[in-house]
Amino acid sequence: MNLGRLVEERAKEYPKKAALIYEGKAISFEELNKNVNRLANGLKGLGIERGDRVAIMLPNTPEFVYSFFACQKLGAIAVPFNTMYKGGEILHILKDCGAKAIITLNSAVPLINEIKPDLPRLQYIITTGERSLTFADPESTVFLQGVLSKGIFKDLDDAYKGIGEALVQGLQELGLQGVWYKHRGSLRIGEKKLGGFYFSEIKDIYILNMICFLAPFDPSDLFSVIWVPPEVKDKVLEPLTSIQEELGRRPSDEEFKEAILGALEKELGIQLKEGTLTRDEKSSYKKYKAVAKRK
Amino acid sequence: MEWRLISNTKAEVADLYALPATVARARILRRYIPVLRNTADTIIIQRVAKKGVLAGSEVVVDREEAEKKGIEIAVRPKGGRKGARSAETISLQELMLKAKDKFTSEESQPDETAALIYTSGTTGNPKGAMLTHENFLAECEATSDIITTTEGDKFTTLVPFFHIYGLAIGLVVSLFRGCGTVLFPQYSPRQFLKRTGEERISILIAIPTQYHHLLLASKRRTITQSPLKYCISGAAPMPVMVIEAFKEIFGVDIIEGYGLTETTAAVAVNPQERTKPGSVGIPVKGVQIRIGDNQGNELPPHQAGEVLVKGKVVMKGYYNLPEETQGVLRDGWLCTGDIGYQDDEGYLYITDRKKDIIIKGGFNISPAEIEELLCSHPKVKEAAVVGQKEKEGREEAIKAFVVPVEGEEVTTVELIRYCRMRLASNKIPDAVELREDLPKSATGKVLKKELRQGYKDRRVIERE
Repeated sequence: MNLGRLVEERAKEYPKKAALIYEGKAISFEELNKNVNRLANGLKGLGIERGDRVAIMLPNTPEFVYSFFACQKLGAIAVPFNTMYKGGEILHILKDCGAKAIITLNSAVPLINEIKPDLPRLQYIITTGERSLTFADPESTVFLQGVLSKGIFKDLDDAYKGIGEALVQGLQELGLQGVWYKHRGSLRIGEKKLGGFYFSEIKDIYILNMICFLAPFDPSDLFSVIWVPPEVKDKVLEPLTSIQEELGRRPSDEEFKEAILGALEKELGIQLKEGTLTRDEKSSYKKYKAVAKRK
Repeated sequence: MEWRLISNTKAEVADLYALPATVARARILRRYIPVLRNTADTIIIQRVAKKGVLAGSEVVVDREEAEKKGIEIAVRPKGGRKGARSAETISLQELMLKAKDKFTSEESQPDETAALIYTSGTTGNPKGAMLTHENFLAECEATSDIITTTEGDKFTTLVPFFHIYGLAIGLVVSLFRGCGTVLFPQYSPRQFLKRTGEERISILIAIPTQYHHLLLASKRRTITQSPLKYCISGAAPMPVMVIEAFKEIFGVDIIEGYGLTETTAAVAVNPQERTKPGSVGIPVKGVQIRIGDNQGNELPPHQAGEVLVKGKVVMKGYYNLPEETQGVLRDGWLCTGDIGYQDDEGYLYITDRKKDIIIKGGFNISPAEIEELLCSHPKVKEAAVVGQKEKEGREEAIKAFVVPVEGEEVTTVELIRYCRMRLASNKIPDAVELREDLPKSATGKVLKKELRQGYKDRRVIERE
């Protein structure tokens, strides 16, 4: 008997009985077994073999269960670890176990990206779940986004480097000292995070999303939106800083814009021209906004 | 080259999603509908007019509470297969969708490693405990008398599956018993209490702090017709008060267990009918427990020493760490690092962690004893005691961290005086620090290492 076999046997014994109940929906033992098989096949297709380590950084979702038992059927070793872990903690575990793949939330990708160059054995980042939370505050946050042709850059690393260098330049322009980022990582001063940027992709387009803290971020807002056990509140966020904390003053919108956009123009050799949405864009914009605001 | 810049300095939070999504869509459509105007590469700069949150579609947000605080909520819709995704990642859903639903399992042997669970020591990096298929299945057998089930029982675990207690008991045991499990990737005590009734959850797996939060959320009203049959607690010591209050309000017992990552969760459990308060119970089926002195000799009842465990639930070793493994595994006995004693009936009492023991003036001093005394002070909510190296010496000083009861004021002088009247002179804290809270792990254990001198935040990334 092994854990892979256990799932198969329960599926035979109780095919129609609910094994997992998630968001009011039941997943039967038979469906569970099939989903585990699908993922096992998928992982096998990527080259995951018996004895390989597969890291799992997920909350208690059906995908955790599929991932854990898919590993068991493959004879691979599941390495589940704390979803609240940050940079150094994740790095140690992935390095120590030599994981070939990690299965995690979309929202954790920037954390993994930052340390990936130190993990030569990590080949695949497999993602699931729409569990990101972005906080926006008139005083403390500013967002820089981009919709860019992939062709502008040599590859994804080049995109991170181009944008990363420009952001560091721009922030220096504002008078900030010692801003740095690592590979595809967050913008930091010392060990504290000042902001972050990451790329998504769709077809031949990269979508850039950057957040920067202008003034201190009040985490109590976070806890009024999602319930977090009080004893782990300080573990939810990385140590943060902001331009105001580093510089002693908060830059105006114009100042920030000028510095960052100026650096982008210089670094990428482009010219930015203030514009608006086209007529075609305007109609779909309304639709997208309505979807996001739907309760 | 000219790029378009769109500034939106009075944005709604929905714009953070809608604007780039709109532009991206237009760019993609243009490829198929040539009459559409060509849009250039676009940079968008946005600042919101009001506080807000853009939440992924699977995040359960408390809209009521957000509204009260004046926080605007928008939802980032599901990306779907055609949506944008993190660059250079693989979608789990897509991986599953393309694959066949039949799979021939590898014939893993019982002693093959099924999972590596990382566990921290006092110092140094976390070690990976190698748990085998047999370990997990043995834990199912070991708990069969305690976690009794019938066909219709439904489990739920508030403990994360990445923790051995959530994984071995919450996930594997429920599956082993053929019972359903209600999943809560994220919960609030209020919402959980509601769902318990709706989903007819009968067995709850949680940790002491979670029971405490459930009690607070129940507002001390007696819950009639709770479908719960019994609850299990583990991972940290359970205050007797919470067990009693829980029984009063929910009408069910909390069964307390004791175990380690290295033992695939529970090795001792307080039996439902013969509970002894303050004890973590008797060994579970197939597990032997004994108390050893420093040389590993077995100690008689009531004498405190290191807790040793033997059985099929004991891990194979630490991954890639033969020396550390040899240090804790001797002739099949696992040295747990916990200090405790057994009574005449074999009930186990845990008094300390070996690594927490303070050596002062050549004596072993138990932090637990001092912590207990401090907590008995009416104005003290929590206390943690650690040893601190004196300058250049090996001698340790005793440092206490104290969290006062909310709304109460207490002075360090008052606390030291309190100790002086009740403790031997070598156990009086040399320093007391008042704090708002203590650092805790995901399972509610006080992280003493973060209180020790020279603690370095391991979360941070270092710049080379």
